[in-house]
Amino acid sequence: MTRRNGFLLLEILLATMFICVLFTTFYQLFLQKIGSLGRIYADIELHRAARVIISSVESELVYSTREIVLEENKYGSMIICQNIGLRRSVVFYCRNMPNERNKTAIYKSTKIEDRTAGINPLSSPEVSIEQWQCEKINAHTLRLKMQIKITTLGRCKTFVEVIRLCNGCVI
Amino acid sequence: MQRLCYLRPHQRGFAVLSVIFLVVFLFILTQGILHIVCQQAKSQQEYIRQRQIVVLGIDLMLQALQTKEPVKLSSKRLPTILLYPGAESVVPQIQVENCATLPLRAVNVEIKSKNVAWQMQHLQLEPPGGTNHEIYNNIIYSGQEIIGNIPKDLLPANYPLTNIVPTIDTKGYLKYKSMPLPDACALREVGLLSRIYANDNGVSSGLYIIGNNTIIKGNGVLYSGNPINLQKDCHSSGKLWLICNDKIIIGDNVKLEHAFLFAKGPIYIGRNVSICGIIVSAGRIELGDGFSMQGDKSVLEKFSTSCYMN
Repeated sequence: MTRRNGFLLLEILLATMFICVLFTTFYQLFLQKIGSLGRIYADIELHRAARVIISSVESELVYSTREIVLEENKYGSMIICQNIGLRRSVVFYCRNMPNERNKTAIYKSTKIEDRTAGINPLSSPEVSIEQWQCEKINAHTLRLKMQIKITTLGRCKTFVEVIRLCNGCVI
Repeated sequence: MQRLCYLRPHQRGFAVLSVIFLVVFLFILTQGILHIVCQQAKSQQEYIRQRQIVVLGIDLMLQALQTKEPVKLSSKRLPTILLYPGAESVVPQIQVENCATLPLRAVNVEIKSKNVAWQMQHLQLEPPGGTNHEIYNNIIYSGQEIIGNIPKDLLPANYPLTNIVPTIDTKGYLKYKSMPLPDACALREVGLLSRIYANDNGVSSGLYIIGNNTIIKGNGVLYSGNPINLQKDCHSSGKLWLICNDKIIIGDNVKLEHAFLFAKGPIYIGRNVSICGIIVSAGRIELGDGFSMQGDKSVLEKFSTSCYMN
């Protein structure tokens, strides 16, 4: 019995060593796999970020907005939406994050009459918005183009969406 | 040496075991990645299909509303459409409802997919009895009497008239309401969202009060089966319809810029009230001092609600 225990330990050590040898042999393969895993993660994160931003912008513009004014700031377009109820206005814009000067994010600023505006970021700190452009196609249609970058991996993707307004128009 | 000799017969197992470990590890890793990718791909596909449904629905609704001869628009079941990715079939449908008693015309766009039904509604409402009802030839009308100092130019030539005040279809308003009557908080923070608001048996039942100094912004139709009390210093700038199956009480210093007031019961108007629009009551109307009114028949035009998810 004593011999068998020793055998098990030795076998595990040898197996581990063998695995290490295999890992070293197929190092490039593993490296590629880890690289592709990173890219997959980045793509997933980019699409998730885009979905969150577009869903939020679209639900506001399509159903709840009466008038839209497009303006420009240093980082891209500012979409100024006047709510149907007229007491509430929402602005979607891009600007740099407060503590990270080289990163930009999309913010939603909601203003109710006689109150200070509440500002919330729509994009996560893991991504940076490289481009945020909104242009008028016609009085009821907008084209939104945004480029999102994963800051850690440097992977970048451009998303273009056409948004049709249901209850409002673009000034 | 003895030990190595002992181990020799089992050495073939080392390589197999190591390879199995490696294969299992790689397999779990690959499965994990595939699982995450599949989940994300599914949600991305769902998102793309949902967006297509929304775009399709909005386009159908806008086309229906832009039809030059909306009277001819009728219910239609459109051909089945396949949405990609996923080859999901959806059945778009336009339903037009006409309610002659309100009167109201509802355009509904419904898109049924495998799991959910996407519905959007747009309503066109006329004043009770219809826009062209003869009673609306008057700027202010009472089924009984008007008490107070009324500017003579507002009274019709053959006053008092013998017209019959149209009835209110209470069930119709409750059926087609999109929201309960807004409370002070909703009026303060959002305003009226171009919809039909009506009381129900829940929170908003009972006397409906719009508090002092309320500024009502936006357009809306407010229907209440119980009395409506618009308290003093209220101000409305949008198109506002107050339809009441009971009495309406307007407080002092109220200013309504584009209003249509219709009550089955009496209407009491306080001092220094200014109204631009039309007032109709099946009961009597009592006017306070300093009342000023300007006729505005444009308030009787069909009230078009915003398109909203139903």
